[in-house]
Amino acid sequence: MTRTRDWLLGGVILMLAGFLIVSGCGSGKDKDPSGGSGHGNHVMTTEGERLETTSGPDELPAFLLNYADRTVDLYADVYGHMHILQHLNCYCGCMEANDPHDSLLNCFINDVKEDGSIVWSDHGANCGICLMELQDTIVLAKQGKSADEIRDAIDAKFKPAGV
Amino acid sequence: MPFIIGLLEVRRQPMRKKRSKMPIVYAAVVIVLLGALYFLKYLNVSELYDKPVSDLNPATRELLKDPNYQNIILPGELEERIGSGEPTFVYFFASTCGFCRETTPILMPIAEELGIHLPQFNLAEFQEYNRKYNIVFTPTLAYFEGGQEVARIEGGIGSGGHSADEYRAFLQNPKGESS
Repeated sequence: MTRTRDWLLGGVILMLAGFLIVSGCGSGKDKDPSGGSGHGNHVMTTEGERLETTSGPDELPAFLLNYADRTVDLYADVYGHMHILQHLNCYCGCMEANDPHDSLLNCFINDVKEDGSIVWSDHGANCGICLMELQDTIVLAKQGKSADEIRDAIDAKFKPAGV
Repeated sequence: MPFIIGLLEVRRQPMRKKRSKMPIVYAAVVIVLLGALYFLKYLNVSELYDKPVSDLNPATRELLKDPNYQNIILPGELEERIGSGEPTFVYFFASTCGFCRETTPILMPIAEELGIHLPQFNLAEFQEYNRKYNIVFTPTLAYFEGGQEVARIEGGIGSGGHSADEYRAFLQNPKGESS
Protein backbone atom coordinates (compact mmCIF):
# COMPACT_ATOMS: atom_id res chain seq x y z
CA MET A 1 0.00 0.00 0.00
CA THR A 2 2.70 2.51 0.99
CA ARG A 3 4.77 1.44 -2.02
CA THR A 4 1.94 2.28 -4.33
CA ARG A 5 1.52 5.66 -2.69
CA ASP A 6 5.21 6.39 -3.02
CA TRP A 7 5.13 5.57 -6.68
CA LEU A 8 2.02 7.67 -7.14
CA LEU A 9 3.60 10.59 -5.34
CA GLY A 10 6.79 10.21 -7.36
CA GLY A 11 4.80 10.04 -10.55
CA VAL A 12 3.00 13.26 -9.73
CA ILE A 13 6.27 15.00 -8.93
CA LEU A 14 7.85 13.79 -12.17
CA MET A 15 4.87 14.97 -14.17
CA LEU A 16 5.12 18.36 -12.53
CA ALA A 17 8.82 18.50 -13.34
CA GLY A 18 8.15 17.45 -16.90
CA PHE A 19 5.51 20.13 -17.25
CA LEU A 20 7.87 22.76 -15.87
CA ILE A 21 10.60 21.77 -18.30
CA VAL A 22 8.28 21.84 -21.28
CA SER A 23 6.84 25.22 -20.32
CA GLY A 24 10.34 26.50 -19.58
CA CYS A 25 11.52 25.58 -23.07
CA GLY A 26 8.43 27.15 -24.54
CA SER A 27 8.96 30.53 -22.94
CA GLY A 28 12.63 30.33 -23.84
CA LYS A 29 11.71 29.96 -27.48
CA ASP A 30 9.38 32.94 -27.33
CA LYS A 31 12.26 35.11 -26.27
CA ASP A 32 14.57 33.72 -28.92
CA PRO A 33 15.64 35.75 -31.93
CA SER A 34 13.98 35.03 -35.27
CA GLY A 35 12.33 38.39 -34.54
CA GLY A 36 13.21 39.45 -38.08
CA SER A 37 9.79 38.58 -39.44
CA GLY A 38 7.38 41.19 -38.15
CA HIS A 39 9.63 44.19 -37.77
CA GLY A 40 9.75 45.38 -41.33
CA ASN A 41 12.14 48.24 -41.84
CA HIS A 42 11.84 49.55 -38.34
CA VAL A 43 14.86 49.17 -36.22
CA MET A 44 13.93 47.90 -32.79
CA THR A 45 15.65 50.59 -30.86
CA THR A 46 13.30 50.69 -27.90
CA GLU A 47 12.76 47.01 -27.25
CA GLY A 48 15.80 46.38 -25.08
CA GLU A 49 15.47 49.60 -23.14
CA ARG A 50 15.84 49.34 -19.40
CA LEU A 51 13.93 51.45 -16.92
CA GLU A 52 15.05 52.48 -13.46
CA THR A 53 13.04 54.41 -10.88
CA THR A 54 14.60 56.89 -8.50
CA SER A 55 13.08 59.02 -5.74
CA GLY A 56 13.31 62.26 -7.72
CA PRO A 57 15.26 64.40 -10.21
CA ASP A 58 18.21 64.81 -7.87
CA GLU A 59 18.84 61.10 -7.70
CA LEU A 60 20.18 59.91 -11.02
CA PRO A 61 19.74 56.27 -12.03
CA ALA A 62 22.51 53.80 -11.18
CA PHE A 63 22.90 52.66 -14.79
CA LEU A 64 24.65 55.98 -15.48
CA LEU A 65 27.66 54.63 -13.57
CA ASN A 66 28.46 52.82 -16.80
CA TYR A 67 28.57 56.00 -18.83
CA ALA A 68 30.90 58.91 -19.50
CA ASP A 69 30.76 62.05 -17.36
CA ARG A 70 29.39 64.05 -20.29
CA THR A 71 26.48 61.62 -20.61
CA VAL A 72 25.76 61.91 -16.88
CA ASP A 73 25.84 65.73 -17.08
CA LEU A 74 23.39 65.67 -19.97
CA TYR A 75 21.02 63.34 -18.08
CA ALA A 76 21.19 65.66 -15.09
CA ASP A 77 19.78 68.46 -17.27
CA VAL A 78 16.82 66.46 -18.61
CA TYR A 79 14.37 67.12 -15.81
CA GLY A 80 14.86 70.88 -15.96
CA HIS A 81 14.11 70.89 -19.70
CA MET A 82 11.17 68.48 -19.63
CA HIS A 83 8.68 71.12 -20.76
CA ILE A 84 10.68 71.60 -23.98
CA LEU A 85 11.82 68.02 -24.57
CA GLN A 86 8.29 66.66 -24.52
CA HIS A 87 7.50 68.72 -27.64
CA LEU A 88 10.56 67.68 -29.61
CA ASN A 89 10.87 64.97 -32.23
CA CYS A 90 13.55 62.37 -31.77
CA TYR A 91 15.21 61.24 -34.99
CA CYS A 92 16.85 58.06 -33.76
CA GLY A 93 14.00 55.90 -35.01
CA CYS A 94 12.41 55.41 -31.59
CA MET A 95 9.24 57.28 -32.53
CA GLU A 96 8.50 54.69 -35.21
CA ALA A 97 9.58 51.63 -33.24
CA ASN A 98 7.26 48.83 -32.15
CA ASP A 99 6.85 50.42 -28.76
CA PRO A 100 7.26 54.04 -29.85
CA HIS A 101 8.41 56.99 -27.81
CA ASP A 102 6.09 60.03 -27.77
CA SER A 103 8.91 62.55 -27.84
CA LEU A 104 12.61 63.07 -27.24
CA LEU A 105 11.82 63.22 -23.52
CA ASN A 106 10.95 59.50 -23.46
CA CYS A 107 14.49 58.63 -24.49
CA PHE A 108 15.59 59.78 -21.05
CA ILE A 109 12.55 59.91 -18.76
CA ASN A 110 9.80 57.37 -19.21
CA ASP A 111 7.47 58.72 -16.56
CA VAL A 112 7.19 61.10 -13.62
CA LYS A 113 4.98 59.61 -10.92
CA GLU A 114 2.55 61.47 -8.71
CA ASP A 115 4.82 61.09 -5.70
CA GLY A 116 7.61 62.79 -7.64
CA SER A 117 9.62 59.64 -8.32
CA ILE A 118 11.10 59.37 -11.79
CA VAL A 119 11.27 56.42 -14.15
CA TRP A 120 14.45 56.83 -16.21
CA SER A 121 15.21 55.09 -19.47
CA ASP A 122 18.71 54.05 -20.49
CA HIS A 123 17.77 54.33 -24.16
CA GLY A 124 19.21 57.84 -24.53
CA ALA A 125 22.53 56.91 -22.97
CA ASN A 126 23.37 54.62 -25.88
CA CYS A 127 21.84 56.88 -28.49
CA GLY A 128 24.07 59.44 -30.17
CA ILE A 129 21.27 61.38 -31.84
CA CYS A 130 19.20 61.57 -28.64
CA LEU A 131 22.15 63.03 -26.72
CA MET A 132 23.08 65.44 -29.52
CA GLU A 133 19.50 66.72 -29.66
CA LEU A 134 19.48 67.07 -25.87
CA GLN A 135 22.78 68.92 -25.93
CA ASP A 136 21.52 71.37 -28.57
CA THR A 137 18.28 71.87 -26.65
CA ILE A 138 20.15 72.84 -23.51
CA VAL A 139 22.38 75.28 -25.42
CA LEU A 140 19.44 76.88 -27.24
CA ALA A 141 17.36 77.13 -24.05
CA LYS A 142 20.26 78.89 -22.38
CA GLN A 143 20.25 81.39 -25.24
CA GLY A 144 16.65 82.14 -24.35
CA LYS A 145 15.06 80.49 -27.37
CA SER A 146 11.39 79.51 -27.12
CA ALA A 147 10.19 75.90 -27.25
CA ASP A 148 8.92 76.46 -30.80
CA GLU A 149 12.21 77.93 -31.96
CA ILE A 150 14.10 75.01 -30.45
CA ARG A 151 11.77 72.55 -32.09
CA ASP A 152 12.35 74.16 -35.49
CA ALA A 153 16.10 74.21 -34.99
CA ILE A 154 16.18 70.54 -34.00
CA ASP A 155 14.01 69.55 -36.95
CA ALA A 156 16.19 71.53 -39.36
CA LYS A 157 19.36 69.91 -38.13
CA PHE A 158 18.38 66.31 -37.47
CA LYS A 159 15.42 65.54 -39.70
CA PRO A 160 16.66 63.19 -42.42
CA ALA A 161 16.68 64.70 -45.88
CA GLY A 162 13.62 63.94 -47.96
CA VAL A 163 11.28 63.15 -45.06
CA MET B 1 -0.25 20.83 -0.23
CA PRO B 2 -1.91 19.74 3.06
CA PHE B 3 -3.07 16.71 1.13
CA ILE B 4 0.48 15.61 0.35
CA ILE B 5 1.68 16.24 3.88
CA GLY B 6 -1.28 14.26 5.19
CA LEU B 7 -0.35 11.43 2.88
CA LEU B 8 3.18 11.33 4.27
CA GLU B 9 1.97 11.44 7.88
CA VAL B 10 -0.48 8.59 7.46
CA ARG B 11 2.17 6.43 5.88
CA ARG B 12 4.88 7.20 8.40
CA GLN B 13 3.21 5.76 11.49
CA PRO B 14 2.53 2.11 10.73
CA MET B 15 5.73 1.25 8.88
CA ARG B 16 8.46 3.43 10.24
CA LYS B 17 11.35 1.19 9.38
CA LYS B 18 10.38 0.30 5.89
CA ARG B 19 10.07 3.91 4.80
CA SER B 20 10.91 4.06 1.16
CA LYS B 21 13.55 6.46 -0.06
CA MET B 22 11.86 6.88 -3.41
CA PRO B 23 10.29 10.31 -2.70
CA ILE B 24 13.68 11.68 -1.75
CA VAL B 25 15.17 10.30 -4.93
CA TYR B 26 12.39 11.84 -6.97
CA ALA B 27 12.81 15.16 -5.21
CA ALA B 28 16.53 15.08 -5.96
CA VAL B 29 15.83 14.31 -9.62
CA VAL B 30 13.42 17.23 -9.80
CA ILE B 31 15.94 19.61 -8.27
CA VAL B 32 18.64 18.49 -10.69
CA LEU B 33 16.28 18.86 -13.65
CA LEU B 34 15.21 22.33 -12.56
CA GLY B 35 18.85 23.30 -12.19
CA ALA B 36 19.57 21.97 -15.66
CA LEU B 37 16.89 24.30 -17.03
CA TYR B 38 19.11 27.26 -16.28
CA PHE B 39 21.91 25.80 -18.36
CA LEU B 40 19.70 25.08 -21.36
CA LYS B 41 20.49 28.51 -22.76
CA TYR B 42 24.12 27.49 -23.12
CA LEU B 43 23.03 25.18 -25.92
CA ASN B 44 22.52 28.31 -28.03
CA VAL B 45 25.60 30.48 -27.60
CA SER B 46 26.35 33.24 -30.09
CA GLU B 47 29.80 32.73 -31.60
CA LEU B 48 30.19 36.44 -32.28
CA TYR B 49 29.47 37.51 -28.72
CA ASP B 50 30.47 34.43 -26.77
CA LYS B 51 27.22 34.78 -24.80
CA PRO B 52 23.99 32.75 -24.81
CA VAL B 53 21.72 34.24 -27.47
CA SER B 54 18.96 34.66 -24.87
CA ASP B 55 21.24 36.96 -22.84
CA LEU B 56 21.72 39.37 -25.74
CA ASN B 57 19.75 42.57 -26.19
CA PRO B 58 16.89 41.97 -28.69
CA ALA B 59 18.41 44.61 -30.98
CA THR B 60 21.71 42.69 -30.96
CA ARG B 61 19.95 39.43 -31.76
CA GLU B 62 18.49 41.10 -34.81
CA LEU B 63 22.00 41.80 -36.13
CA LEU B 64 23.65 38.42 -35.49
CA LYS B 65 23.47 37.33 -39.12
CA ASP B 66 23.71 40.79 -40.69
CA PRO B 67 26.76 40.82 -42.98
CA ASN B 68 27.56 44.39 -41.89
CA TYR B 69 28.00 43.33 -38.26
CA GLN B 70 30.45 40.44 -38.48
CA ASN B 71 33.60 42.28 -37.29
CA ILE B 72 32.46 42.24 -33.66
CA ILE B 73 35.28 42.63 -31.16
CA LEU B 74 34.83 41.59 -27.51
CA PRO B 75 36.18 43.43 -24.46
CA GLY B 76 39.23 41.20 -23.98
CA GLU B 77 40.35 41.42 -27.61
CA LEU B 78 39.61 45.14 -27.67
CA GLU B 79 41.90 45.88 -24.77
CA GLU B 80 44.56 43.60 -26.17
CA ARG B 81 44.37 45.27 -29.56
CA ILE B 82 44.55 48.81 -28.19
CA GLY B 83 47.13 47.86 -25.55
CA SER B 84 49.44 46.37 -28.20
CA GLY B 85 50.25 49.94 -29.23
CA GLU B 86 49.71 49.17 -32.91
CA PRO B 87 47.60 51.76 -34.74
CA THR B 88 43.98 50.68 -34.92
CA PHE B 89 40.55 52.05 -35.60
CA VAL B 90 37.62 50.96 -33.43
CA TYR B 91 34.00 51.53 -34.37
CA PHE B 92 32.02 52.01 -31.15
CA PHE B 93 28.33 51.47 -31.82
CA ALA B 94 25.23 50.22 -30.01
CA SER B 95 22.81 47.78 -31.58
CA THR B 96 19.99 49.85 -30.01
CA CYS B 97 21.21 53.09 -31.61
CA GLY B 98 19.30 54.13 -34.73
CA PHE B 99 22.04 56.46 -35.97
CA CYS B 100 24.53 53.59 -35.75
CA ARG B 101 22.21 51.33 -37.71
CA GLU B 102 22.07 53.94 -40.47
CA THR B 103 25.81 54.46 -40.43
CA THR B 104 27.23 50.94 -40.31
CA PRO B 105 26.00 49.78 -43.74
CA ILE B 106 27.62 52.85 -45.33
CA LEU B 107 30.80 52.80 -43.28
CA MET B 108 31.76 49.13 -43.52
CA PRO B 109 31.99 49.07 -47.34
CA ILE B 110 34.16 52.22 -47.22
CA ALA B 111 36.55 50.59 -44.75
CA GLU B 112 36.67 47.47 -46.86
CA GLU B 113 37.35 49.46 -50.00
CA LEU B 114 40.24 51.21 -48.23
CA GLY B 115 41.57 47.86 -47.02
CA ILE B 116 41.15 48.85 -43.36
CA HIS B 117 40.16 46.23 -40.81
CA LEU B 118 37.50 47.89 -38.70
CA PRO B 119 36.63 46.07 -35.46
CA GLN B 120 33.11 46.82 -34.19
CA PHE B 121 32.46 47.13 -30.46
CA ASN B 122 28.80 46.84 -29.42
CA LEU B 123 28.26 49.09 -26.39
CA ALA B 124 24.72 47.83 -25.85
CA GLU B 125 26.21 44.51 -24.71
CA PHE B 126 29.08 45.94 -22.67
CA GLN B 127 27.71 49.17 -21.29
CA GLU B 128 30.50 49.87 -18.79
CA TYR B 129 32.80 50.43 -21.78
CA ASN B 130 30.93 53.66 -22.50
CA ARG B 131 32.62 55.06 -19.44
CA LYS B 132 35.87 53.23 -19.94
CA TYR B 133 36.45 54.70 -23.40
CA ASN B 134 34.52 57.91 -22.73
CA ILE B 135 31.99 57.32 -25.49
CA VAL B 136 29.15 59.86 -25.50
CA PHE B 137 27.63 60.22 -28.96
CA THR B 138 27.24 56.88 -30.69
CA PRO B 139 28.44 55.89 -33.16
CA THR B 140 31.99 56.98 -32.47
CA LEU B 141 34.85 56.00 -34.73
CA ALA B 142 38.06 56.23 -32.74
CA TYR B 143 41.69 55.91 -33.74
CA PHE B 144 44.25 54.50 -31.30
CA GLU B 145 48.02 54.57 -31.41
CA GLY B 146 50.54 53.62 -28.76
CA GLY B 147 47.73 52.38 -26.52
CA GLN B 148 46.07 55.83 -26.50
CA GLU B 149 43.15 57.33 -28.32
CA VAL B 150 44.52 59.91 -30.73
CA ALA B 151 41.42 61.05 -32.59
CA ARG B 152 37.72 60.37 -32.94
CA ILE B 153 34.73 61.27 -35.04
CA GLU B 154 31.41 61.37 -33.14
CA GLY B 155 27.90 60.93 -34.46
CA GLY B 156 26.94 58.95 -37.52
CA ILE B 157 26.51 59.50 -41.23
CA GLY B 158 23.41 61.61 -41.91
CA SER B 159 21.49 64.67 -40.72
CA GLY B 160 23.00 66.11 -37.56
CA GLY B 161 26.15 64.05 -38.04
CA HIS B 162 28.71 63.79 -40.83
CA SER B 163 28.89 62.96 -44.50
CA ALA B 164 30.21 59.66 -45.79
CA ASP B 165 33.14 61.59 -47.24
CA GLU B 166 34.08 62.95 -43.84
CA TYR B 167 34.18 59.41 -42.51
CA ARG B 168 36.24 58.33 -45.50
CA ALA B 169 38.69 61.17 -44.91
CA PHE B 170 38.98 60.21 -41.24
CA LEU B 171 39.75 56.60 -42.12
CA GLN B 172 42.41 57.73 -44.61
CA ASN B 173 43.96 60.35 -42.37
CA PRO B 174 42.73 60.10 -38.78
CA LYS B 175 45.26 62.53 -37.36
CA GLY B 176 44.42 65.19 -39.90
CA GLU B 177 48.02 65.49 -41.03
CA SER B 178 48.66 67.58 -44.10
CA SER B 179 50.32 65.45 -46.74
